[in-house]
Amino acid sequence: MWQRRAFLKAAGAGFAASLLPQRAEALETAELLFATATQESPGRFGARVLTETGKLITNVDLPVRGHDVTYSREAGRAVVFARQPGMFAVVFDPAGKAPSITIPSIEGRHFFGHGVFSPDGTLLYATENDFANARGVIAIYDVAAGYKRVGEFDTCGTGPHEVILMPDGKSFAVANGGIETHPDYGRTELNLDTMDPSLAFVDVRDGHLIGQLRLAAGLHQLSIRHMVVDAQNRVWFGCQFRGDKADRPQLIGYATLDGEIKLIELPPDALGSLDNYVGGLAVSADLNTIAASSPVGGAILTLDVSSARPSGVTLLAHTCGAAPDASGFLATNGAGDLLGLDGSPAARQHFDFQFDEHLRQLRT
Amino acid sequence: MRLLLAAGFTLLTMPAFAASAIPFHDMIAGTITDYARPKFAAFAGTAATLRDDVAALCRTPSAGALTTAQDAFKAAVVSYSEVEFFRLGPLGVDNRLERLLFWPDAKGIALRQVQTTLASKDPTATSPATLEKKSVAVQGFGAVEFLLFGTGADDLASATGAYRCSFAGAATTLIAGIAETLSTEWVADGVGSASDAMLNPQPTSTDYRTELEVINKLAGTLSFGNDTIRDQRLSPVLSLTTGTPKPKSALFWRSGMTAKALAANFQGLLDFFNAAKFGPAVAGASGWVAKSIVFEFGGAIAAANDVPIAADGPVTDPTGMLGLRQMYVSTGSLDTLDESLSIAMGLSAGFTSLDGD
Repeated sequence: MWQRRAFLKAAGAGFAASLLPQRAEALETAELLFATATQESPGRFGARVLTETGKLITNVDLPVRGHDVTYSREAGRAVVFARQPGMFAVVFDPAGKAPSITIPSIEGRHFFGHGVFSPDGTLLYATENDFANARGVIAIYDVAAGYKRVGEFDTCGTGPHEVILMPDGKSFAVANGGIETHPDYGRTELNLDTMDPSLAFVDVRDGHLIGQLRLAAGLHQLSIRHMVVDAQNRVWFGCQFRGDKADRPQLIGYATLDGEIKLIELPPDALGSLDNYVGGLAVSADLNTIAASSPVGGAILTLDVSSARPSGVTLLAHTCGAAPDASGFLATNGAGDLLGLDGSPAARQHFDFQFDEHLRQLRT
Repeated sequence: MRLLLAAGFTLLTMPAFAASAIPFHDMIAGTITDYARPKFAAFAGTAATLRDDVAALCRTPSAGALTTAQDAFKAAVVSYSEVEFFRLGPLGVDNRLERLLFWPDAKGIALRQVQTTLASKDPTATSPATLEKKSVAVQGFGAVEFLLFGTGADDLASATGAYRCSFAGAATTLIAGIAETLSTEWVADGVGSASDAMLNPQPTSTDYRTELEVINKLAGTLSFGNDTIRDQRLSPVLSLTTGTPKPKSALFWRSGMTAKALAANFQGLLDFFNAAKFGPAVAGASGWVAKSIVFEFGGAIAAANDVPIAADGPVTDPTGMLGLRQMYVSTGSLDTLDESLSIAMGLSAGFTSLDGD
């Protein structure tokens, strides 16, 4: 895997030369690149593109907390979405050459913090909230038109969080968390008694619902929020439980386009390490291992995809960011720590900024 | 599985820079001794008075007895507002929070259900044992406020309001019961008690594994309380998405207690901050953080106390709305300062671990 070379190719000739000397040097020695939202100091937020050793390549300032970052080599842009109820997304050039573009949310909608580019980089999709109607949508932005909002699809659920594209590029998988929020109430969850989470497959072309999968009725307070796809096109999902704290439902499962959805059976100690909360998922470079992070439990659980059994637990307080490197995973946390696990050679480091919830490898 | 986990288990404890100028144990003990126990005891006292005054009103209805019961309600609201964000331990289990206060209620569910219950004179709402099994929206402070202050509350001053009074009697009995349980559970100090779980964390515990974990949750309580005041109490009234204030989206507007409850919210958090010794914990170079937090709390409390209450009812006048805006600004400052506090102590409470996404 030589991601740096592909990134440099996408960034264009002269990119490295355009960087400040220390950033150019960092890029020169980097194997992989990652992006994350950050808190630079109390009340000052941003997003960074980093090497696997945490060296800064580019950064943007944000007025409030960001959440996830998505990237398209074809578009040559990364987008950081404001944390929900987010009123903007910022499109930036990871190469730092082009000016950033701010996409404001339209009236009656706000961002949920996640999005994805189309495979050809011509469209950007983002989960948004039609908050007057408690209805989730996938908003569509035209890259060539300066990220003009050109339409939206219904997610057929409330509170969609992450949206991903299936590997064939023909359908979205949407995690309808089922939680109603309204910006007049900040991040307050307004319908915990009547939550209706689901995982929906939506057609990329026309937005029609291909299929919608729900867990057992007794698990209606299990909010489906983050997803990754394995080599067999199974969508692995991680949940957050909003019911009684004393209950310990299973939190991780997988779904397929054939209509199967199931939670895997984690043993009590592995399940307990997540403390009813999966904050993010990542899949390894070989697609054989999944990392599930829990900022509440302060743990990252790794799972063997083929057996659906845990392979290890790493305790890291306030962790949430997890992303694959060449041989394992990098994990980050809200205290400014970065470390490697599950075979990653990365040494633990501490930084003077805080990592926000998601860490993304810039796939090129 | 245990073997498998053991093989792959990597223990990375908290960063070495997590630090306090005083022992964590002292902070935890101070929280329990100087905040949780006296505050929940005070709440148990005002809740018992409310229960007794409503019972007296039902026995001998009169305008004076109604006023007494209404005053008792206001006192109970103040004492509850001082503890409602301290959800570690007893308050956070068995749906006690929801049974004490069904809020936020953006769709007005409680009002509809209480009015339906009154209209049908549902007999199951007049006994604590049967009311407890009904929707939490017809229990707690929200329901009692409508019964004592809402449309038709004047009936309580005479025999006309007998059913309504019995309903209020059952609801206040449930509130008093929960309040007494909360106080009792905080006073307990044996193995398995809430205070023992915090004071003596164990690696195998499902509550707290280390003192540092307790401190993180205590610091998180400050952020959580502040955010909840902003998101559930101020923001719905200011309605920044429409730009048109919604005074009747305020908690406790019928009893004219909106601002007093907010003042008590901030006061309770400040009392917790002091009891937990956060100031001494960051004495020295970071001492400015604690001083700034105390200053901001003072400003927020003053703004709440300055909201005019010419008559019972919602905050509608411009001065009152300005006070709510001032408090909203204070929550923004406190949000940043809470983060500074966590960083000064090497914690990260509130940033990624306690606020969902």
